Amino acid sequence: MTIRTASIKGAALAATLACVASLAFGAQAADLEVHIEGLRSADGDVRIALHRHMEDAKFPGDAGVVGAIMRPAASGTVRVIFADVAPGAYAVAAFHDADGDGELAQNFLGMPTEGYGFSNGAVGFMGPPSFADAAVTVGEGEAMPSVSVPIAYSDAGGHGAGQ
Amino acid sequence: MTAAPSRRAVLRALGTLPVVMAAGGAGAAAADAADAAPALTADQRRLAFATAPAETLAAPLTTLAGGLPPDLTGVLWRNGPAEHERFGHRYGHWFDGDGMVQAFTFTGASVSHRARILDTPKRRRETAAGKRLLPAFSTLPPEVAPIMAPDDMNAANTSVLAHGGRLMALWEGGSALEFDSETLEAGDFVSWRPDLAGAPFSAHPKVEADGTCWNIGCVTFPRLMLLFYRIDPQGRLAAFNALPVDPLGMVHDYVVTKRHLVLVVPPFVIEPERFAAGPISFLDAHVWRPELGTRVIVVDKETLAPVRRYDLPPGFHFHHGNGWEEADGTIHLDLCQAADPMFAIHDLRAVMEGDWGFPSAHPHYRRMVLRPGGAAAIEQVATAVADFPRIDPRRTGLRHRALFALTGARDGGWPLSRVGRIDPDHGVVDGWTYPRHLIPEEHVFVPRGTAEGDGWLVGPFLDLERSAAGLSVFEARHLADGPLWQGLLPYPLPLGLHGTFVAA
Repeated sequence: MTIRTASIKGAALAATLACVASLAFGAQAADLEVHIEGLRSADGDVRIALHRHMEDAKFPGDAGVVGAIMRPAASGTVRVIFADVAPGAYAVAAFHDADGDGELAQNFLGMPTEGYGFSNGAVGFMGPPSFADAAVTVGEGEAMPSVSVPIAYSDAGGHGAGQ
Repeated sequence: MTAAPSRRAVLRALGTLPVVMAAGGAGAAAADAADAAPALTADQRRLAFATAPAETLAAPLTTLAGGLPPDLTGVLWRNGPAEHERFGHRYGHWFDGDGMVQAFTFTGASVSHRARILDTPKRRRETAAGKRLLPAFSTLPPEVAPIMAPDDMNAANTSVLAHGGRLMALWEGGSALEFDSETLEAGDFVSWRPDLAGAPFSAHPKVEADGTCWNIGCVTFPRLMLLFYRIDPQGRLAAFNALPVDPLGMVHDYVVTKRHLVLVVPPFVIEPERFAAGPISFLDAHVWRPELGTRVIVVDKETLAPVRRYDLPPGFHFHHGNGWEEADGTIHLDLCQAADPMFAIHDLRAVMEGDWGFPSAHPHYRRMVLRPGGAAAIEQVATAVADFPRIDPRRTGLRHRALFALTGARDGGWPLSRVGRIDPDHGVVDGWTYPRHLIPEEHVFVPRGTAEGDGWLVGPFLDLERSAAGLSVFEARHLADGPLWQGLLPYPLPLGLHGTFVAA
């Protein structure tokens, strides 16, 4: 069994790097299908992180990451699968790494200038949503649970990388 | 045979008209009349914070009394929250509403008025949704949408800057919004540099005699920073710097001196982590922490880097007048400071409900002295409530002898009922009290001649008895004589905030 924890440098919103995480938790594990929607361009990559709830850990920080996937970006929707996910509650954070530098670009105010989103289309009032708002449940023996992650881009905050 | 009644007798007979005389003595008569006037009704008080009667307005002003100075020509640009209610939702604070820009155009013989609600991206989203959607300064609509950047909630409602060939409506937490001088229609947000798109640009820019424009910005989420801008006379960014400040208080205004920008940071500090706990307004994310005291940051105009810091007792203020420095580096500055921010937290919410009790401590004129060796002092010079200070703009950053402000008392009426001239050394030295039913707004100094203080004081008022907005022109050196001229519009306007006069 291999669980890779993605390293997230100072980014409050999403994960970085990594290859497909293999999450073999046993016979009841399911594959979780994730649809990253609303991508504006095929520039760069899409980086997706699967989080578990961690007490005392700020979502979407490093501590809760149990899997991370990177795919080339495509206009519209990119579909990925987290394989063999054990039953439980998860949240997905993703961002469109249009400049391909592995980081969620921010302007000097600290506002993301690349598109980002969370499972269930959860949004925070200012900043990221809570884990609970973004949570999806993977049940035992479910054929193929799926979740959509709409990507939002800030137009007022900046016209930096990714635009 | 009956003699024709004098103009003054006619005005008195009409009862609701202000007494306006160019000759001395009329001011005192008006002040006496104000004392005897009946208290305002709740409906009258609510008119001061009602939504403007239409999205666009235009009309000439009708002369009430007096005569216009023929050499007073130009445009008084103003801004203020004017759409307090929309889609059945009413905001809960004076500073929340969508901005309305106004132009009072002086030809020398007449004054005309134009106004338009600024259709910001924030307002357009709400129009599309058919409801209030975005957070305001102090109010969250019932189903509040999240914001991704400050300009998502930019109400463009605080002031106007005319500079570099552009007209801009200013807010505090986000970008300046360009608007058209003819149609008054909202244009694009101003980006001073591509990487500064969306950066806060505050509502009290200072333009020096050579045309250089200075401003600050207050970044409150997710990082805490003060921003400093130098803009050349053509409207191009010439220098910029960002200074992390944590904790960061609400900084609405600042002063420029010959060599420095001086920022006075009150201990009413934002706690950005409060936003993570769920929807909360910008005002409610601030906490009064008097133990932090008032921090002063002196920034070098050349490097835009901090060079001196001072600590002073706590207080809360929005506005300064002017600042200047002596050869040895001693800095003097004006501020209108209260003991705490309760007037902004409580009283300016209560007025939205027609409550003019004003129980909180209110701003008074104080001056601050900052010595190069680190000593600092603050003293209250005038006993009257004072706010909305303005100076002769030719003295920006230079020693000044006159500050014009709204003054008054918390006596059951509007507490800023008197237009006054303050000598920084001696307090209020001249002034004229508006009758109780006339609520004055910020009065702006318009220069004439060359000497400091030679000019006019021009400002709007709201007549609560006639349900009509108006405008006064004073001789700035003789306020006690009363207005030289007053005119009235055929419609009311809610009380606005700040403006600027652009001479023709």
